[in-house]
Amino acid sequence: MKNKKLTISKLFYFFYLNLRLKFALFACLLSCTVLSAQFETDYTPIEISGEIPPRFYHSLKGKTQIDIVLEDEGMSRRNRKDFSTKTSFTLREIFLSGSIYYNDPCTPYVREVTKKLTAGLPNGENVSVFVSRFVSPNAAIWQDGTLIVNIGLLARLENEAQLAFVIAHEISHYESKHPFLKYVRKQKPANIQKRALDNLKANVAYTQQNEIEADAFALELLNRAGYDSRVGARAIELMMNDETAGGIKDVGALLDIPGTDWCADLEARMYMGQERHEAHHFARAMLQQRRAKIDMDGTSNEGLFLVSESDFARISSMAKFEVIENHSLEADYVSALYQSIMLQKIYPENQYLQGKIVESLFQLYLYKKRDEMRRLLETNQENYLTTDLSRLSCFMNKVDESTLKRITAIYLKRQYERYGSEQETIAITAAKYTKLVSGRAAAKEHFEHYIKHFPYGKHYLYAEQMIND
Amino acid sequence: MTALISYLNKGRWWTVDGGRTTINGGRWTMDGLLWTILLLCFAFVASGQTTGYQGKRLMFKTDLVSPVSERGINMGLEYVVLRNAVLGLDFSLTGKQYTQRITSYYDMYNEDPPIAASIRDMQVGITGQYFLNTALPAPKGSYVFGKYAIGQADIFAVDHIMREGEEDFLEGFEINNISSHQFDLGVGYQEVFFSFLLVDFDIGVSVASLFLNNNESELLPHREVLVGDFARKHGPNIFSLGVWRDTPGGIGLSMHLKIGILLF
Amino acid sequence: MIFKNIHTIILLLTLFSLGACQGALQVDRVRDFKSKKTNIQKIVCIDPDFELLTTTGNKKTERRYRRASAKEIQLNNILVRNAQKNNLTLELVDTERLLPSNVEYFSQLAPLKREILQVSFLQDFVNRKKRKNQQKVFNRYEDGPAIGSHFSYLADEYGTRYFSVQGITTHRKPNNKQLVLLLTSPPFGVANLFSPEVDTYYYTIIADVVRAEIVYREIRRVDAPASDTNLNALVYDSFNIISQ
Repeated sequence: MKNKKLTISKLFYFFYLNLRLKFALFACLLSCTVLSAQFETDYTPIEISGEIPPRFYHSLKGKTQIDIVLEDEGMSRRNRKDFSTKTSFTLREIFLSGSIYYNDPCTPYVREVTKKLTAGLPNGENVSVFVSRFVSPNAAIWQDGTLIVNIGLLARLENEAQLAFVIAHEISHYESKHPFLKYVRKQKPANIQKRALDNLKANVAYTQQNEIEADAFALELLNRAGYDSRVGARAIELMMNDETAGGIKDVGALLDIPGTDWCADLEARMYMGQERHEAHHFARAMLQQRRAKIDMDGTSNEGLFLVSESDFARISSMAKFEVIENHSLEADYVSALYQSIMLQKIYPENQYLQGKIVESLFQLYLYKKRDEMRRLLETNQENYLTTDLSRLSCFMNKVDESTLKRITAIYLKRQYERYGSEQETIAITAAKYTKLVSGRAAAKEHFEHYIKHFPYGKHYLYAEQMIND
Repeated sequence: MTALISYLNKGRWWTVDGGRTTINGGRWTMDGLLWTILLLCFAFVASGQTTGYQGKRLMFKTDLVSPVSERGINMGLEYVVLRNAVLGLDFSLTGKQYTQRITSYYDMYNEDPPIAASIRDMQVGITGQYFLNTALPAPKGSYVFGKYAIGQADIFAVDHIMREGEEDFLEGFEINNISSHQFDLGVGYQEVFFSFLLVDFDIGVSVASLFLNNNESELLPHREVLVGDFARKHGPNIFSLGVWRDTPGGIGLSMHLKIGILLF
Repeated sequence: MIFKNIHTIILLLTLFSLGACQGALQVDRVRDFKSKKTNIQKIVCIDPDFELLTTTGNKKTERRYRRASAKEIQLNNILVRNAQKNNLTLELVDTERLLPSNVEYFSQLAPLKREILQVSFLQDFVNRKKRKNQQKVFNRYEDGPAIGSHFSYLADEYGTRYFSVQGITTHRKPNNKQLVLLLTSPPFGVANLFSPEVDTYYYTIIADVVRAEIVYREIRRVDAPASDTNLNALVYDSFNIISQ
């Protein structure tokens, strides 16, 4: 009897567990479906909200020193203190710039991955992870253990193990005190002269020896945590190259607008000066060398995801949208346009992407009209490293105002007819475009349209002002 | 104002014409000129982005060098009329003493006369300062300035009298109501402390003239030479380089260290 | 005549070379920007910056940063006080006094500050009739640089449409004029020997979030350190121009 009861309770227990598991699986599937469905039709950019986290808040009080405990590495006490102050203030500037996400969906996931890697490390607890809005596919660590992973990196990588490799690489720098050693090296009188060049070669601020050491230790950390260590080479490759390259031949054709086929003949060109160009190629050569050192044959599906595959997929997709948003915030409209067009191939019906394309085209036309296109392109030239982006920027530089106006007008009209009443960005851009081209009187109708459909929109007061003027 | 007009009347390049003082052959009257200057000042005050130092524009300053070097006083009121321009009224009273070198006396006694000659000069002037730093509005920073002053001077000197059959002696004589003119041009730097205290240092070239001929009383020609001998040092308060043209009065370097307050 | 007074001419030239103009000011504003017309009463100032740069090889980083933060507090007080003297209310949002609950700084003001600085760098003021190559001290334009209109809702939240970014940068340079000055005019040379070579830059950019444009931009350079009296003079003059 007792056994029977036990069996029933066991059965019930298993059934209950099963139910919980099923429910969890169902919830997971549902959220994935909802999320993917959300990305299919629209995307809402991450907005910082909620209370400022304590660690974040203390960084703002960076003027009180952060504590970096270091043994004497041949540096005077004053120099060590200077290093500590510099680190503290650099971090303060980064945090205050509003470029770090908090209370967002990405950071907890990246923290989980980091936790898997730092388990058992002597200074592992000191590593605190943040995700930044920076679009370059990279991550950086400071000697106090602050690790900043760029959103551009999350958008570029293919699996969790690759992310773990990059994080492990940065942790290795931290464990080996490379940031401090870099500072020591720069303090030597002979190296002070080279600083200007060093700044240009920002990607290779550590010595190649440091990087190779960090790579080796990173692979060890990956193995220890249970990740597939063969992903290292692929991660470096992805950081070097944008896989979407090769998509643009003709801007007009891309947007389905005829009459711009001449731009296919444009030669992709860098705007950067000779020194920057050399520095860029030098950095790439260094990366190639590192990649060759850790390249291992074979692939496996094991050890690619230890935290969550679905979370990675969700965060990776979000990061792709966030990259576009951040390009747009940084006024790099060429990159925003390019990335939007590329992502549109995956989500053809996404209204957010349509909005971004329209907005980017309008902004580029505005800069062209104000005769500031060259300055815009030169400012963002660091981002135009792939051939496609370089070609697109070259097109934007060479295209005359009327052609760009025509492209913007045709595309804007098409999207306005489709989403003018649903998508805020498209509605306000149409009004702004009309105001720029035909004056305020002509744009009044569009501003009224915006006010009617988006009474709680962020552009409301602007639209109202434009009507009343 | 009456004093200013009376001083101006003693000038050389205008004439008394039927009781009215005229300049440039009768095109300008003296009163007209003064009123035009005043109206221009008001026009400047009314226009432009005049800031002053935290809104304070009126200054009172007094010189610390003048009592030491010239036994006199030098003070003035200044007003910020444009964001970089200051106009001011300046009053100075000097009583500098000079050792006379009379050749006949020196030949006889091998020394200079024991009684020092002196020039007592009371001047009223107009100062204009242009502050060079466009980012810092007047009255703070470095500036170039020009000053034109006119006044009335009294000279006291001694003459060595030698007559046949009599013992030689020194005779003092005075020349009163001499028209004096001074023109200054130079650079300076003014600093504000505690939002009200002003310290102003300037250095420049001074040119002074004493119009002895304008004096109504007749002057013996050799006394004119005697006066001219020491009056060439008159004007600059640090050192004189020489005579400015042929009139008595010197050209040289002047320096002032003024302290003052920002009134309102 | 000229030869007779050659010493005077040399003296004058030396004097004028000593008082050479050192300092610059440029004010760009849109034609509509005039406080009597627009009735500016309040400006929100987003986290003023105080930066101390040095190219003298002085490595005392820590001391420099500490001085900068002390100066920043001083600057905040000067800004508020001088705005008041010009009948303007300056609401100063300072990151030094940020509380954990001040989330609006990161969601609203930090992005706006970045946008203002970015747009100010990327776009110039535009004169529709004629693009002037020669810049004057005070410039009036038809159109200001355009910022994103999605910040317009901030006007309701802060009770003003004007948001400003202000700051000071001082640059301490190696003193290289000593010898020439010592030889030509010893008093100035000695004074120069003991005074550091410092340039102070002060900037103000004001954006009208409702019209979505930068309406006022000012940069000034003074060859003097950022002392209290200098800052008072600069900031008062700046607010005086804004409020006139």
